[in-house]
Amino acid sequence: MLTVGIAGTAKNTGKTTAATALLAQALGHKVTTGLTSIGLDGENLDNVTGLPKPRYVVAAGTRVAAAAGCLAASEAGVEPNVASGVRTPLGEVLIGVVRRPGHLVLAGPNKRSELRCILDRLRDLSCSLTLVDGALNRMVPLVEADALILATGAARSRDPAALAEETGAVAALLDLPAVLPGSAPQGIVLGQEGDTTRGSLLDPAQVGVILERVTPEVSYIFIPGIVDGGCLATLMEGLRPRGMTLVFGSALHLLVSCAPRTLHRLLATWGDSGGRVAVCRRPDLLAVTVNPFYPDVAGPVVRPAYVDAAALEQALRQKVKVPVVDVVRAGTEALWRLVESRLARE
Amino acid sequence: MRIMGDRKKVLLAPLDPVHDVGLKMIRRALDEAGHDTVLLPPDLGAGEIIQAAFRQGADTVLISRTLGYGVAEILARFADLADAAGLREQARIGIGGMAVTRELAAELGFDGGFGPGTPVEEAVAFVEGREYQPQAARASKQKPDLTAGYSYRFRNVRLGGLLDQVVDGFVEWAAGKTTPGVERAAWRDRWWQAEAWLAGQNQDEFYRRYPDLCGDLPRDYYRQGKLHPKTRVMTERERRRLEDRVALVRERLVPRQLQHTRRKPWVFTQYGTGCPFMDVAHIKTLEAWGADGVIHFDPSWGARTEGLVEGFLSHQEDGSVITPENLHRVKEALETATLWQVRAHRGLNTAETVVLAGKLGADLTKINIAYGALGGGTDPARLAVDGYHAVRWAAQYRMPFDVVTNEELCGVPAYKAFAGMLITAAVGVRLGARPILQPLFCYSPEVMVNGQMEDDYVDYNAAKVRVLREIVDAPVWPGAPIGFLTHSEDRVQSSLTTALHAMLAASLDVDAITIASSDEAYSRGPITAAARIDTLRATREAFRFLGATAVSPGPRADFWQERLLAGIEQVLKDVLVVGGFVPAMYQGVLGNREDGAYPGRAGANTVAERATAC
Repeated sequence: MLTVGIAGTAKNTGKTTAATALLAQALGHKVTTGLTSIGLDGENLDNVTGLPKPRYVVAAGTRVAAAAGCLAASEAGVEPNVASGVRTPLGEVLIGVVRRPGHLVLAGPNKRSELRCILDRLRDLSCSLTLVDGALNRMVPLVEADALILATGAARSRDPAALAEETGAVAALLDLPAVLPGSAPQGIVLGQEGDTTRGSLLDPAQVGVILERVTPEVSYIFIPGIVDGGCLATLMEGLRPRGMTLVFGSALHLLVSCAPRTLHRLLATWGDSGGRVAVCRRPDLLAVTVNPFYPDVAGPVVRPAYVDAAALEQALRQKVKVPVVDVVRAGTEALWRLVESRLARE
Repeated sequence: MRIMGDRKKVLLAPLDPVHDVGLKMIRRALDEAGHDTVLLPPDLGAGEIIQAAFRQGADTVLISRTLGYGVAEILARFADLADAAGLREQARIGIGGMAVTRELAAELGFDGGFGPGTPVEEAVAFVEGREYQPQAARASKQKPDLTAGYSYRFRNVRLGGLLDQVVDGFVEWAAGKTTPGVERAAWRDRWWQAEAWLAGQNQDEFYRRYPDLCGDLPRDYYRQGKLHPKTRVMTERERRRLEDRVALVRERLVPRQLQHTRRKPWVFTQYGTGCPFMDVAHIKTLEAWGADGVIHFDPSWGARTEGLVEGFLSHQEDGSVITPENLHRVKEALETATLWQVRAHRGLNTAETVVLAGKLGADLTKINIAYGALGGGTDPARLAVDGYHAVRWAAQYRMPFDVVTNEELCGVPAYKAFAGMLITAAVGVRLGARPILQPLFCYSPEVMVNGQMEDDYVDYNAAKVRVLREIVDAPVWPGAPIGFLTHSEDRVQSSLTTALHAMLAASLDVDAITIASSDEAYSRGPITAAARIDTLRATREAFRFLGATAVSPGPRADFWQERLLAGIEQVLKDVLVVGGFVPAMYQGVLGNREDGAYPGRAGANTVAERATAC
């Protein structure tokens, strides 16, 4: 089963639009598909801006994992509703197959360990492809996916150049190499016994402690949790880059606690000095989707607004190596082909 | 003091720049329950909070933050950081604050969301890993008996005596009379069996004579299948869709309760859009939002028609046609705890409607001879006989009935309308039925002219309820709806006036009230479901506000109560002077032309002597 997560850099970047496009394509190509979300999707109006949102219309045969409260509010009928043991604010996540097509409100497992569990259950239902819709700018649970689609757009930044820089940085980070299995060199792993920070680097005082443990034999430092940008910079300054690999949980772990461009800069400097970086989990970035929409909050009432779509796409293409797709302008074929070819490799 | 389960370690963290009262309240409840709490100072960063959670070994982290534009991303980022740091393997995280809902909590990635109005117990349940169970009342609503506990004893002996005399004369006159309406009712009572009809069995005996007892419209229906031009039969597809819809809604409907600490008043709402589908859709909405009972409104032409037609009929204009099928469909769609009233208070089918409603399981009916004759267009003698028998059948079918003083809306002063109401009610008591008094809480023509409500809507309405209580120990159910003619097109104003009248009614400890939607007075067309919810929601809030306290009427209420009592007594005496209830209606004693009341003409000269008295 190929799991594709749709991560957004902000609200209203087009995650659900991309997901519904892929669902429709999967249906047309007769691919058995599973669907869940790490947030809440498919509702009528945006919870915060009040603007209309794209809705899920699911076809019969789609496997879904959704909270009980959502299924109760949905037009689509899902059966059987098998309890998963995963609890959300909207009730327990139930797993089933769509029998009666229609609108679906979708809230699913919203943390990583729970998503892993739900993906296992969807795998048991013979899904070839499972889509996991993201939520706002939350991404961490999507580290469980095999592949990612990054959704960004004017809702994140209306300045095409700035957005392109940032997106390029994020894409480059998502491209960080995975750790290669091999003979176990000597290293320092954060989060071992007695470490109250559980594997995260948040406290400047920790940096000193780590540096004291570095001997010439140490060739990697593994930080499985989150990393404060300032602490990372301090750590890097205190290390000899050559022969040292910094290992992180995933690019997403890095992105949550440090701005992409700052991170990109730090890692570039590290790399230029001979240092290496790797991650434990590395979902493939398949594409970046771009949405020219943004909510205009300047007036008394929130209104939909759009930047120049072509200019935005162009700017992003300059900085991002993977394909950049505006699903609404260009159609869904291009995006589907990327997923399809990835699916073929499973 | 430990409540249940293990001792939990809870970290409470205000993300707001200012300390949050909500967290402090929750902390107190958690401490009392024996849990180990740490409350962080406000304005710490996400990283610091996560570190604190690890240091404490927290099982639960409760964050508070007011939502606003841009804040959602901050909170979502917190959830992500906690996940990436591995904190979510160790602790559940809840988010609370203004504008937080469960939906938002799901979107932001938390394990629980607590918005304004969340009871502290719900947060404690979250910490302890239990499902929060709100009041049991929500899950199991019971159907009340409005007349329970009332003796119908006349507290005012003088008035009781006068009413006795009126009723004596009236019963003697009416018992020996019949009308086509009564004949039809008796025929239906004898030969039309609900069980047989439901089972689709032949009721040939019924149809043998029934059409002949009817007027043109129904007779044409039975003989030739002709429908009233403004009606049509619901299609097979519409029937099925209605059944599906009811089943779908039933799966998820949990009826709310409007009442707070007071058990009463029970709240009734009206339906009768003409379309059975719309009616049922409205009824389910009403039930879900707390209505205790629903009242059937039928078309006005029904009152002028001799006989009832059949079929699952939709009507183009206001009012849903009374047919066995239409009534049955409504009954089927109701929740078990919902009270159902089918009105029979005017028109040529008064008696037969009571019989049909009784057979189909209605809980209540409505009968008012004076109103039906003086404001409802039916001939007084005709309606008096029909009403007399209708009351008998109401007793037989164990259906309490309310007696509503709708003639107040024509302009008849309350004291006269009350006299008429009391006479009908006294007839009910005499015949072993259980009447309910329904005075109007309205800005009636009488008060427009005489100024009883220039200052407030409290005193005169209170006087009405109090005078009735003073006279007889009977249930009181202000209608119809309360606040009538105080509503405007302004939705907020309309909802508020309904709620305030509800609050007054509750203060007066009445048994029930009828409320309208916020757009009923002005809708010029369909009433919306949203407008239904408006007034139910407002009424619930009024009950919450009032609790067990009361609005206190002023001294003018006492003044008007005395005036009303004197007025009623005088009218009853006048009734006796002119020879009884029926002559009194013709001669304007219970409401005259100047008041705006006119003896009706429908069914004139249709009263005959019975073959045998009953």
